[in-house]
Amino acid sequence: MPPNDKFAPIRKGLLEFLILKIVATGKVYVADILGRLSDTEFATQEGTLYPLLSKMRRDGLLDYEWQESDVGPPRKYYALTPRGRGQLAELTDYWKRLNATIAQLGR
Amino acid sequence: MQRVISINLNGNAYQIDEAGCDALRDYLDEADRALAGNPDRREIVADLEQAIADKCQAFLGPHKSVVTADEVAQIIKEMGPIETPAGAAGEDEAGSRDPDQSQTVTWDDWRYCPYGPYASKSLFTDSASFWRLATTEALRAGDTANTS
Repeated sequence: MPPNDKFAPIRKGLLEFLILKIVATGKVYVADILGRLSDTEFATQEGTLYPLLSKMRRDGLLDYEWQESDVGPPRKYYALTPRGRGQLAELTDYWKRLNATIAQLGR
Repeated sequence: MQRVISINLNGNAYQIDEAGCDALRDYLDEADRALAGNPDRREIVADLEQAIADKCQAFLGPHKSVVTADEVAQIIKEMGPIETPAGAAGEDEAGSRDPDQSQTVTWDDWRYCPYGPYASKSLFTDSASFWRLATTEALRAGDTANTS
């Protein structure tokens, strides 16, 4: 089933949160992130991801280092900064509280 | 007979059908416009060019040296439109290139001319706006589920 366009703003807003979660699993490069998201309703394209990663790096949430690749040019591998880890913890906590609020109001 | 044009994508040379080259130029020009005012514009465009180069490479082989217009169309579709996140622009002056670095530019200089005021495509101007909308949408979804 195609993702419901009505919820597109929510998916868009959550993308940064999900990227923080993916990058928190270890050093990843863009293809890893796209691959992890591709089978979900958060499937994303390079045209969205590169500007967002750039903003997140400028916000101090993540950083990258170049690593040589056996199959092509060097790649940027991203990792969370301490600030990024703090932001992820904060968002995770807020998300739990939000879910609890929604569940409570729906009773 | 198709005309073939050699282009330079982030330091890699590729041969592309003329129509494909035009489409690619339009895409990268649009990227430049969307990123006007973004202090990381050149780096993001280089990343995009590298991603396009990787995708071009996948279409080439020992007996195929030209990327066709159809293949370029597929690449552009896979790349998707350039979406600028909220708060990503306005920190430098659009078109404020360092002329000393002109040798590193891979497309025509006019790509880097200012294109007018930056217009964000994002629905959110800050994270608080997002969370307000997210909460509202979630509550609406809950209401719909409760009433149906």
